[in-house]
Amino acid sequence: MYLRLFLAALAATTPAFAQGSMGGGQDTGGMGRGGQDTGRGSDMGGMGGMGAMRPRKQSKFEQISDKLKLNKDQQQEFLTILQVGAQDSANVRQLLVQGRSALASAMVEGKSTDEIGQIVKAYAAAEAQMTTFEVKAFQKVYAILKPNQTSKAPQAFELMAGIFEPQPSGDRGMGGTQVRERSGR
Amino acid sequence: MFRKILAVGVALASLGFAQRGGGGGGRGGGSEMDTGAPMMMAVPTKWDNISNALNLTKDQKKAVRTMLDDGNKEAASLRDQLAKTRAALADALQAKKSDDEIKQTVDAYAAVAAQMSQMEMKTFAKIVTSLDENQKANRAGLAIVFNTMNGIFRNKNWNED
Repeated sequence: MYLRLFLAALAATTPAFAQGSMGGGQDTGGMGRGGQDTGRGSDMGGMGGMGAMRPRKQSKFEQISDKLKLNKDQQQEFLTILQVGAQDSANVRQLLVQGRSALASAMVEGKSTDEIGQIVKAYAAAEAQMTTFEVKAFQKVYAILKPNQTSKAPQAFELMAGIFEPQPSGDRGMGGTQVRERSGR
Repeated sequence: MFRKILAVGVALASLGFAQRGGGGGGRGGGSEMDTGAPMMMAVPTKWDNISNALNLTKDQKKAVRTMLDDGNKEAASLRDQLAKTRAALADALQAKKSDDEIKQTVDAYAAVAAQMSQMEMKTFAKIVTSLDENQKANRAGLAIVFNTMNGIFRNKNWNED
């Protein structure tokens, strides 16, 4: 029972903190889901305990900026696009957290397949809304690209998956976004 | 009672996000040293987050790790479908397909993404039910694991970003 209430509380409160982490300024902190498949296989054999610390990963903002070779002005525009998208998608972000919490609760409580199916259906609708925000943001970014920058746009869109969602620990979505001068451009 | 638990949930759920959003806990990457070289800060892996958050015993570590490995294997097909539907959406956008066509592609992607989240929460539920009562009462730990599970099976290696 306590666990169920905890999950409900988590769903109710997490989005508020996710929004709070957006903050102002350049460092928007903590948005975005884990990165794409690295294709490096699944060799977990050597990992154990605390011995597997990893270096800081590039934020999605940094990855996409690099992928598209955005110049300083384009990076600034991209950042603004992401900040607007994150604000606009706040309610959907909350729905997604609530949906995951509802799924977890239903499974812990052993709810029926039908009941879980209903939750998944509602979750898919929220996911579609979030993806639509990603699409809109991508279309805005695409519009500021020069013709020679569009070839890798599809890969950039793949990197945008989950960019407006709260991220798991250690992942860096929009976090630490810093518009910097790109040398030689 | 619910209010009390809600308040605890508010306080504890904030821990995970505060750690991420503020760049605290020694992770605040992105800064640069005087030399101009990027400062590489080590960050804990997902497994570190999960095992430490729940204070797992040696046996529990083995069991939970197996649950995550099994979940990841089970999610392989969904992972492929996610990649394909996302790529199809990207292609549709670049080809400037109609709104209706894009909506269909979005819905197809979202349906798979929802199934993936179901898989992640299924594994989370397995982990939770395997915990002892003290561990289940560790709301901060559960919050960290709950957040860590989001998107965990989207990579071939669940412990990688």
